Amino acid sequence: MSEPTSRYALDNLNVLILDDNRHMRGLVQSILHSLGVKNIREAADAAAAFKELQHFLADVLIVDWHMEPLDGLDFVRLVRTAKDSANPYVPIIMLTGYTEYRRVTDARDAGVNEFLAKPISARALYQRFASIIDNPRPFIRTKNYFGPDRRRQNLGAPRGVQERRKDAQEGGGSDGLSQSEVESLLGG
Amino acid sequence: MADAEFIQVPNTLRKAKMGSGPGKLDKNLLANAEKAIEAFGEGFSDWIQDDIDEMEVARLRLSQEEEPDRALADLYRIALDLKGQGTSFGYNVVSAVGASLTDFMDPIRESDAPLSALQLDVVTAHVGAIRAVISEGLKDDGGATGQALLNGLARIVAKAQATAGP
Repeated sequence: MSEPTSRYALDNLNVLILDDNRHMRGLVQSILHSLGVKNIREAADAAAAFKELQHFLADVLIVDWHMEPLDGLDFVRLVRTAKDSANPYVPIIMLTGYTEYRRVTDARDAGVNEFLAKPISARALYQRFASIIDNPRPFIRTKNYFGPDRRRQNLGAPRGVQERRKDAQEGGGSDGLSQSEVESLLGG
Repeated sequence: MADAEFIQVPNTLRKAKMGSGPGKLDKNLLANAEKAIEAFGEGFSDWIQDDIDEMEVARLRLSQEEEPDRALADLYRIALDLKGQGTSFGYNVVSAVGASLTDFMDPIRESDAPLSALQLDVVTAHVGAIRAVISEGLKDDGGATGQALLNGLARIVAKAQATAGP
């Protein structure tokens, strides 16, 4: 018996892009349009994005990390834990040039769902959407964390990640992780 | 995790999938998106000029010790942006130079010590390399010239790091 097939209908989604670089916002918007997303809003800083979320019912947020005065992690924490957050459960894709072990775990611990390393490709962005749609995560609330379950799958980290974890614990190891290593860390 | 509360979140993204079972990426949409990146990237060599000019201004401010923290932050932000953009638009060497500069600057940004003359030379070399890559149109891996630029940067970075010590 053949497996039922399905397709993604991204045209049904509302997406907010937060990036302080207008070219990057333009690029992401251009890719999303091509993938069928029609309703896209942009923000150049975290405060504007947070305000936008009060009246724009975003289904997915795409957030850059390196911004000022609030960075992407600050924004994720705001969305997840602020009392006036419009949707603490909204899926968040962190888009960033950072791929070091410590950075990825910081993003995970702030409550991001997916991590997309720049340089961005259409396939990689499409796959992150597919992952969010196909694998919704329960949320966890503990004394120190609120966000998607970080232990969704216990696949074990690939060898490269284990080595870098050791490096990071010993204060070294600044090499970037590959996207698959990042996904493993995020439990994807 | 004894005090962990599990919360089942309503799947609001169900509306973004038609049918059941494993989803398939639509190859036509993907091809369109790749074309969109290509079209968007046609302006890269023009708009990057503003970034290069801004890097040059920040480098000058650094050399004149004029708000050096701000200048370092500006340089880092642009280098990180270029690292993230270059390869998307076929300029792999721009990404490599951006990565080299951000890696070099990471420990400097965490230190309170002022930039040494050699460290400033490293910054200057990176800005010059990005300008050269764009002005010479060194796309993809940059060929022999692009690789020579990267090798040169690696040497000067190694020298500065050796001088700075562990």
